Amino acid sequence: MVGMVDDQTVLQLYEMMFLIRSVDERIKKEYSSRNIRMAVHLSIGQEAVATGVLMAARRSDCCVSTHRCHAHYLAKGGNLSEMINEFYSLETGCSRGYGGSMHLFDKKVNMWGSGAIVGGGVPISVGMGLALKQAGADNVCIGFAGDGGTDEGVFYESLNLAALLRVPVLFVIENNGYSTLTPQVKRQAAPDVVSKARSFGVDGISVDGNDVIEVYRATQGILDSVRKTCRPFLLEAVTYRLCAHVGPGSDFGVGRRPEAELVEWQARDPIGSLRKRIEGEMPALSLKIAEIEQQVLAKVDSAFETSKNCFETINARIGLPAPEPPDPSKV
Amino acid sequence: MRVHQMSFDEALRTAMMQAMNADERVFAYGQGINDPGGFFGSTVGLAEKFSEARCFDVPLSEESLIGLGVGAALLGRRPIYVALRVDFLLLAMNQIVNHAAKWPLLSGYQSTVPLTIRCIIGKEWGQGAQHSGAYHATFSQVPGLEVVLPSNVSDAARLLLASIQSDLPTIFIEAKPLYGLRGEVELPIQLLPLGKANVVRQGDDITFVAISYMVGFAESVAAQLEVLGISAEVIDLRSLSPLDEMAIVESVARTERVAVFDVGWQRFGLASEVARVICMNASCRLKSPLVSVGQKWEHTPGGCFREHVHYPIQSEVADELLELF
Repeated sequence: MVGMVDDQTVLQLYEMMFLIRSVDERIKKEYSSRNIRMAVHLSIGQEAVATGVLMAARRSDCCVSTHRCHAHYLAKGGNLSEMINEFYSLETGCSRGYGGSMHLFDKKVNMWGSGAIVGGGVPISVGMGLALKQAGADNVCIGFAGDGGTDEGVFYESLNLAALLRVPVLFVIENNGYSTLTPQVKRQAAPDVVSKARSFGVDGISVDGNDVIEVYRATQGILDSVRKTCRPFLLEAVTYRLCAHVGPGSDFGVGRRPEAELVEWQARDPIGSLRKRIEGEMPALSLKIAEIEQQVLAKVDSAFETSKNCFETINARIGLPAPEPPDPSKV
Repeated sequence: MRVHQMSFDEALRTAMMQAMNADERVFAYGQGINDPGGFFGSTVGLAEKFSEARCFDVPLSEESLIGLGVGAALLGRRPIYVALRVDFLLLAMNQIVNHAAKWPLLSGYQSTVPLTIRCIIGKEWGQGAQHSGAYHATFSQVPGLEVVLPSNVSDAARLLLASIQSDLPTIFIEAKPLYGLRGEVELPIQLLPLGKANVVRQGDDITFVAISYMVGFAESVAAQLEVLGISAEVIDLRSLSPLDEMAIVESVARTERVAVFDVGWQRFGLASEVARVICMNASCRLKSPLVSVGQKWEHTPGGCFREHVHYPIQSEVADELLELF
């Protein structure tokens, strides 16, 4: 047990976070080959939010995500190979090659896609909540947005609409403190999103978004309550993006984000933190961790190799222009 | 099958009732939808018949309301959003263009958005610049949207039914002057497939391509020209997207003259699109320049007196067309 969560679940949470991290780290590597030709918004540093929330949800609960959707897709149970195929624009991709990295879709697990217009998915999650209520089952729609999404007017319209229509929606605000490079305090005079939600009649709480156990346990309780009351709820998860807003690089230094922040948040890395806790509180599980990591890395490697081979075969056939050498300033 | 005499609002209401009766996934919402006036009569009685769960009033939040419809539609519901004026839909362009129209593609066509948006173009009695905007051409520029503009009572009922049953997001545009019409509607209403134009009057000398209330206007001009020995063919497009290009080409190839009657502006609108269709088709050769009939190139002035000269005037249009011959 770690924080009242049973061993098996703890390992599953660890495995999911490690999977998300490994996929994004591999994208960073493959990106320089210029065969993944699209804007990628990596989830590195933010894995605990998607994992804690979505592993507490049912398969029949719906999810609407944002441009930074890799973690949400995987934690909702989206198919790994189809996701990698999508990065290579293959028709076997989860969005048949039409969506790309920002629009991952897997209807089988009720991952209903993601929008790259900040805040745009929020009212859609309210509509899904309404449809779920009309259909009569006690499923919930989980709508993700970042702190940037809460800059948008439509977010506040959506809070009002959800409270007014009493729909089973969980708004998850993944607060990484930045809209690209603009910090929240430069964008919002009153940054407390929970009190803003309450003023619209939507109850909410804020949690440490880098503590997957806390996120998971909070979400379990919230989803139970949303199912019973059919009222919306807002969960703010405070976290931090360890990579750049877009692309495989980083954005720290003069005129960008302060290096001191990176150091502070690296110490709070959600995966490293959980590993330390497991080693401290459940040393018997430590061996399992190494085993899980090996399995995940092998799975990710195999998925990438298969997609790359398929991409190269098609590329040779249709004669796309040969990839240009990488330009480090642009990636 | 029974034939009923109906007003325009009654036809729309009847189509909505038939759709809601046949399919429990259909629901309607809009600002003031359950007011006694109920969208000029077109939604009166729906809440009583189907409960407020399926016909409900909403706040002034256009963007989130369209998003609400997109979300519900993705999960298989068939929402009908009703907006009193097209101008207010501009507040929701992000959801209409970036979300409703694009979500099917973004998912690799593994999802559909069967959302219908009913809206009204204001005209007459001084609607002013912000209540009389005609943005059907703007919507038609967006792949993934359907844009429907009925011209008469029977078509309105049948096209609304088709819009509700369509799996694509559909903007169903009603012009206010049509609310004065009466006509025959067959019950139960039979669906009229979108994208099929209707030749409402046959002729050999010139083709009038028209939409919405301008179909009636074009018919009046055609009657006026007939007296002078000119035979005009009048085509009611019924929808801009999908567009029945073949109907335009077949007629213009024969008449070799064309005038376009739009409820929108003379520029960047239906006339421009008809010109594209004609110019790109080798069988169409014009003997005289295309004539564009529509709103003058400015926004509608307030008050009926100024409004009157903003819109095309029948006698002036007839004179302009006579000069072609």
